[in-house]
Amino acid sequence: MKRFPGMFAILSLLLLAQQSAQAGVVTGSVSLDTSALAGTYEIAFVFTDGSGAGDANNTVTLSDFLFGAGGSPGTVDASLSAGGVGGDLASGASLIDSAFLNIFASSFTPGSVLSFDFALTTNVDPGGTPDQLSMVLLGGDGTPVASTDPSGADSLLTVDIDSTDPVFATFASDLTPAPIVTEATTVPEPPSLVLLIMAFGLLLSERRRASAGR
Amino acid sequence: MAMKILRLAATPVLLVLHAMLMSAGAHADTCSGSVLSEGSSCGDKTPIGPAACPDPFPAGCDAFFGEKGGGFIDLLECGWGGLGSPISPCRCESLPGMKVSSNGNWCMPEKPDCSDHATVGALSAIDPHCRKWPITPKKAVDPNDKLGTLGVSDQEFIGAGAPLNYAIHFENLATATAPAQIVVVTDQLDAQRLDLATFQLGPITFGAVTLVPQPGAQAFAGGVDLGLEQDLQVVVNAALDRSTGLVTWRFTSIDPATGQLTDDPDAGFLPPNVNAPAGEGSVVFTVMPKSGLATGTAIRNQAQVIFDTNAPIATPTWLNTVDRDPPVTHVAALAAVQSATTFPVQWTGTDAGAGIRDFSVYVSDNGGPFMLWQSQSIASSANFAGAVGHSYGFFALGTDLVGNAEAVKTAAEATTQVVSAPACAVNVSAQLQVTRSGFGYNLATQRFTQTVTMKNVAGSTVGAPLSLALDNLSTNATVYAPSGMTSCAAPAGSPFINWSGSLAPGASATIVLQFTNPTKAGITYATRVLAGSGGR
Repeated sequence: MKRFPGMFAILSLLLLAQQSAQAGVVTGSVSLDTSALAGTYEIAFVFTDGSGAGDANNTVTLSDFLFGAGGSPGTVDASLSAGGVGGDLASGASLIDSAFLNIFASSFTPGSVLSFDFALTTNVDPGGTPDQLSMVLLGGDGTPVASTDPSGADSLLTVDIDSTDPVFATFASDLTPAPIVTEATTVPEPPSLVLLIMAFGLLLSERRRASAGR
Repeated sequence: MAMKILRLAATPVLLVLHAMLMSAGAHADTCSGSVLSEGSSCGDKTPIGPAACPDPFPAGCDAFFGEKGGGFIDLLECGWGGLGSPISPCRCESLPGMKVSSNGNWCMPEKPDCSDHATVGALSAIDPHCRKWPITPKKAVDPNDKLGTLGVSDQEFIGAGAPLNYAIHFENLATATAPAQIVVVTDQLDAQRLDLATFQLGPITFGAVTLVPQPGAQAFAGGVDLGLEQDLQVVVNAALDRSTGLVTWRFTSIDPATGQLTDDPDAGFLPPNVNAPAGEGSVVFTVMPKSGLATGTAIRNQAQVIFDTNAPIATPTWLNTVDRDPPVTHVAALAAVQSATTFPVQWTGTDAGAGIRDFSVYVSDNGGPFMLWQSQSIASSANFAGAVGHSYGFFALGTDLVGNAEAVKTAAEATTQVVSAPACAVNVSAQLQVTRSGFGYNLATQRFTQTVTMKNVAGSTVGAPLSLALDNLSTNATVYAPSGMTSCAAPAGSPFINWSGSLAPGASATIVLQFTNPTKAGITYATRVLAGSGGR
């Protein structure tokens, strides 16, 4: 009974760590064959908040944009961009679901392949509707390039943040094949690691105190 | 000698014509072919002119026109052409509860609230009694005038078997300087369209004298002694030349002393019309159109009048158009089943010619004999009160404005069955696992999209059709193109999207929702899945 408070603290930390571990980060890269594109296009990332409240519990970081031979980044489309977004294609962009609808859009000149890295936090919204990230290719006139996206939004890529290991869906468009998504391993967030280390540290300490007491 | 322009309302003149034709038989025995003295019974000329209303609508006919809106009165029996036919001002004023509108264009109920929503002829949707009819427009009537059978519409449609009655008027102007001694009226009949064998002379009038040929007569010879004051006899000869179709009336002023045409230039049977109707005259005849004339056949008639040695003056041409075809009507298709015992039935029709006067609609209950449901209705729909479990069949019959009636039908044109009002659809939300995707956004339509998957996690099939209802949808958003709004099971007013199939255990159905959301605020709602054929 004397050890009960210590064990309770350990179990609490382990439980917290277990819960917090759900909020991981998915990283990876996306590549899109843009060799058939000519002229100026626009790439748009749409990030919607499933809670509807703009709870800002997930972020998307986009970096290392490459355009292939002949390609180059353009300028941010401020008229289309909205919500919690920042950055540009040259230096990297980020989106946070601080509003129901968040859009980062920028023009670019296609080369052979458009590729970029992403990091996506995976906090699942309560209420049954997940946050969603999607990527849309627009023509020079701002019209989305039609894709096989069954939702009708003409996305090339969508991911619903409904788990710590969300599924990426990709769709071909009239002008491009479906993009290729390469996911890296899911990495627990640092706060979760801290909680786990603290829990195991306390457990070790408790065992030592128990051994010393015999 | 001259002829003046006289303006008369057409309808009263025709009514006089009608009265004259109808009275022909009664006067024949005493007047035909006789020389009569002024003031005899045949010398009383029927008054012509707008001052009097010689033939008001018969008693009871006012129920059709007025605000009382009583039972249907046959319009033709009331002596009136139909829905679009004009009414003379005096006839209008003779109808209880009716008045001529302030602008003189309409005959309408005196109810003050009818002025804004009265409809021409047909029942008003706002107030069934607020119907109005055009007032007979004033027409220029030449003294040498030709009037014919009053038909329907500007084309004066008549039925194929209707007789054609014509009256030809002439007058010596009041400003003339001498009386007319000889007047010759000719009328070339259209032998291609008229059956000359049916030609009959009608009453012949001048001044206060009326001469009535024998019924059926195609020729007439007679005269009148105008008395001591004028010391003239008038010889009248009239005949149809069957070989040419030409009808001729000749009025000759005879000096009784010589038996010849008077040589006194100041004598003549038709004086200047200073004291009307002393200087007026008319002739009347009737003839049947040939049988077999097609609908739309125009029958025109024109006469010429010659005063002494003056040049002939043509009368206006009177047109009638044949309408021998009945309307073609039908009852509009009905839903196979009715969930309400009272349901609307609609009918419509077309008519090549005068137009449809009314519809009669018949109904058969559970295959029984057809019974009259709507009698001579001028409406195009009515609510039918049925009974649960009964099947009903309907057909319509139409009658046009000249009396052509559609042949009786033997089969229904529309059928339906009244079934019990269905219960509300079953809420099967507990049997289904509903999964929503995140919201997508269509940058072109600016509509949000969402994919909803319904999986049957129960052990039994969920019956078709399925409806995904979105309860408590945030007010900033609306579902684009929903299948409907819930109204049966609470909560009502939720948009729903239908999915036609059923769901076996373990099977899934996917519905893509689209939302309009101009403010781009968050979209929230709760799902409810309804199944089966019941109400939503």
